[in-house]
Amino acid sequence: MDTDLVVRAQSGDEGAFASLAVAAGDRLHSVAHRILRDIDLAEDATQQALLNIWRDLPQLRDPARFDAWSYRLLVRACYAEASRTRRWTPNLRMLPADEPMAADGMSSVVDRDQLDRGFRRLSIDHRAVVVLHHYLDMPLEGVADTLGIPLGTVRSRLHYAMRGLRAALDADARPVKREAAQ
Amino acid sequence: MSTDRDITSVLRSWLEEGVTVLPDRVLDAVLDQVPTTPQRRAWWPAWRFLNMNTYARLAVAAAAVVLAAVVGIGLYGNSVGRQPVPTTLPTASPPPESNPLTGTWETGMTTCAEQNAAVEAAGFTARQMTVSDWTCNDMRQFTIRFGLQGGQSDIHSLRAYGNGQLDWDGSYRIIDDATFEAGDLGDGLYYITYRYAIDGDQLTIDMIEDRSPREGQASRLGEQMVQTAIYETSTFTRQP
Repeated sequence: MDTDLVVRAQSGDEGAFASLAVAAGDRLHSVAHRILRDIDLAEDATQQALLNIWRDLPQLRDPARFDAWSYRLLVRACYAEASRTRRWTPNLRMLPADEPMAADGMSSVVDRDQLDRGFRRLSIDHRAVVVLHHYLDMPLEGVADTLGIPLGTVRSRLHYAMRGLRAALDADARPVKREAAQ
Repeated sequence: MSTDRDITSVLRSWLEEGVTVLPDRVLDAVLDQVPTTPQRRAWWPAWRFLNMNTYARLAVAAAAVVLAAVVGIGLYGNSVGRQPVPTTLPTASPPPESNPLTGTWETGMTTCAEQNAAVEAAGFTARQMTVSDWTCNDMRQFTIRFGLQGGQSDIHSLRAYGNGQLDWDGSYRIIDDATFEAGDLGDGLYYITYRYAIDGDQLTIDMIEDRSPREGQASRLGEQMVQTAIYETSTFTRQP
C-alpha cells in the first residue's frame, strides 16, 4: 500500500482516502465474505470497516502497517455484523458472473457443501484465523499481530478450527461409506 | 479419516472460491459518507512514547512541563480565573452562566498503574481492554475545563486535556446537583452521564453511563475506557 496515500488520508485528504478505499476494497470484501459466508453481511461489514478506517486513520501509528491494521478493523466489523440480528433465511443470492469455477483441488460438490457446513459451525474467532492464515497466506505471527491476540491463541484457534472442519468432512463421509459397504 | 494435508488442500481450494470484487454501490456508499464522517484524532499519543527510549521520553516530559509552565503563566499570570478564550467576539454575549462546575480542575500526575486500576475498578475485563486497544499513558496529568462555548449562554463547553494536550472537546449540561451529561460539541447529543461531588476545592467524577453513538463495540469500549481513565483515575482540584 502506498504509505504516502495513507499519510495524506490520515490528515483528512478525502481524495487520498478514496484511492485507498478503491485499492483495499476488493481484498477486504474478499476476506469479509470468506469469514461471514454471506454476501449481504460481507458487504455491510466491508462498508463499515472502510468507514471505520477513515474515521480512525489518524490513530494508525505506523502508516506502513496499514494493510494489517485494516484487516483488524475488518475482522472487528465482521464480529459486529455476525452479532447483529441473525438472518435465518437461506443465502440463495446468485453469485456474481466473475465468480471463479471450482478449483482443481476440490474433489466434489459434496466436499464443498460439507466444508461449508463445518465452517459455519465455527465461531467468528476461529474463522478469522483460518481465513487470514489459509486464504491470505499470512504467517501465524502475522495473524496474531493483526488480530491483537497472543501467538499461542492463534495456534489454539487454528488447531480447533481444523479439527472441527476435519470432523465435519469425516462425519459427513461416514454414512456414504456404510451405504457403499452394504 | 482425512489427513491434515487433505484438509488443508481442500480448505484452501474452497477458500479460493467466492466473491473477490467489492460492488461499486458499496464503495460509493462509503465515499458518500466520508465528507460527513469526522475523523477521530488520537486521544492518547501513547505510541509516541512507546516508540521512544527512556531518555527521549524524559526529554519530551520535561518539554511538556516547560510548555505547561509557559502556557500557564501566559494564561493565568495576569488574569486569575479567566475563562477559556472564546472563539468569537464577546461584544453582544450574555454574561456567563455559572454553576458549581464552572472553571478549571486538575489532577496530579497519574501513572499507568493508577489508570489501569481505575479502568479495572470500573468493571472492564482484560479481554475488553485487548479488543478495544486500550493503552494507558504513564505520567499523565488530566485537566478539565467547564466553560462556555463561543460566548453562547446555552452551550457549555467541556474540554479535557492530558498533559496540556486537548484530548476531548465537547459540551455538557447540568442535570441536577450531582449529575451532568456530556456529548460531542454542538450536536445537541449528550450521551455520557456523570455523577459528580464537590467537597471544598476537590471534585470527584464518576462516569456512570456512556451511550456513545460511535459504530462498533470496540470503538465504544475504547471511548468508555478513556473517559474512565480521565475522570476516575484521580480526584480533581480546582485551579485558580
